[in-house]
Amino acid sequence: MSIITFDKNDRVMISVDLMNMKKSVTKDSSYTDLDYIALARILKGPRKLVGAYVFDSKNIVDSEDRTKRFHDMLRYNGFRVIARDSYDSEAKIQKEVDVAMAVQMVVHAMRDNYDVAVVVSGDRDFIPAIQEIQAAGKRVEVAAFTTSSAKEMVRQSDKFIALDEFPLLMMSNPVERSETEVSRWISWNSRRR
Amino acid sequence: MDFLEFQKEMNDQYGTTDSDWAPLRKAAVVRFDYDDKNNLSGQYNRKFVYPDWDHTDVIRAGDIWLVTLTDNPKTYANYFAKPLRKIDASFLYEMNKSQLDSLAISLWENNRAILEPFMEERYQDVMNEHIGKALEERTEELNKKIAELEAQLQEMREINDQDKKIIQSNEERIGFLTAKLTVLEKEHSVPVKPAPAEARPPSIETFSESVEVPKVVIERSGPDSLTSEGFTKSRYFVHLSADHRMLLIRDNKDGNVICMDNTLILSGLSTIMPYNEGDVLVGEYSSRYGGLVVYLK
Repeated sequence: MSIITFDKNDRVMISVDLMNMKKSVTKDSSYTDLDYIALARILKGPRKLVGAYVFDSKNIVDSEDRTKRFHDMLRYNGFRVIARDSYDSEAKIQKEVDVAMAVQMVVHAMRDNYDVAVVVSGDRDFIPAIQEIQAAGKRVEVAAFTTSSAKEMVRQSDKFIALDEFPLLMMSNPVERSETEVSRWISWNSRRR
Repeated sequence: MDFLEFQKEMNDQYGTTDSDWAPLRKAAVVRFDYDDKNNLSGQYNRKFVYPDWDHTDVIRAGDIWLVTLTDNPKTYANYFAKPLRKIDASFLYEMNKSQLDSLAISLWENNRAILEPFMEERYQDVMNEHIGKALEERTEELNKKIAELEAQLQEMREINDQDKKIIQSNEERIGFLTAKLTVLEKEHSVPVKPAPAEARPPSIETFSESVEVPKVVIERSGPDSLTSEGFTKSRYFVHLSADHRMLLIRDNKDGNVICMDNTLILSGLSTIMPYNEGDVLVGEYSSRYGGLVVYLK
């Protein structure tokens, strides 16, 4: 049993590493979507949410970047989306994003803007940032899917939340889904050509 | 081409006469050495060739020269040679590629019997190395091609799988809509009588956290469909846990799953949970999640 107790008056700040989350649910991605709103609600619990950040990259070259609409949807639902102009479409990797998230969490900790930082990522790159936040007197909860969680992250956190157990993958009707799949297939096929 | 034939051709084409070729006919390549009388001489057509002293080039013993020959007017038994060009390494260096190629071909054709075994012995290892390298490159190229084809095949398989899923979903949807159409047709033909209040299925909204948790029986009516008398609203949110153990069903006016005839059709349900006809699941209301929780395993 953990000695860390749950206080309703805690101020919680959630930081989501979007790429890490997307990678974690790829096996179910053909018929479900990760529900970030449900994720934030579950992680917040009865506590006070002072901010929910989502960190991602955007493709400034591709004018039809579909992530833009997704970011707008998150913003509409109250997330603060920080999208770096650093997506390498050739290597299909993000740059700057992890550092941006680490800096944001540490800066808010130093300014005493929250009591509990919820790091939604299993990437062990965040360990130095987590240590600094803990050194500033804050608690750190790490929430991630077990398949993509580094053991060190589990050890370093004050509390580890395994997301696998929570109903977070949103299902939909076949028609809606198949339309999405068809449009995805068309766009994927046109990209190949 | 034979030299005489060449001359004939030139004569035909350009009107070059034999007299024009006279100096060339007297051109020869001669090697000079000291003879028994210590005179510098060479040989051509079994005649001695002596350097013509009316020239400025210095001919030394052992030199090979391209010369023009004139008969000795006194004896006609030997020639006098006027040097034109010394044949040495510099001569070869000044040759252009086609000339060098012609020379190499000529050397090879005239001396093939001698050169071939020598070349074979000398360059066997080099050739083997070249062949090995070429073979390696070709193998690598073919392996790359195989990998590309395998990747293409994999992509095609994925597309095929996706297409199958789409077809399956559409077929299911068609079946569902056909059934719905039949019901609607019936509804339009027969006046609807309001059902007695006690006969109505319990609404999920009416569940509350009490000592006795209300349970709802859910029937697996198809590979991707769930039917229950508890599904009375028109829209629901359905969430699945990543470990595929739990399904959360919440009614909501903005829900993305449409409920028709107490049935929810969920894309990919058959992938999560294999379909066995007549499967029955039990849902419990959870105050934590504010909806009906169904444990799949």
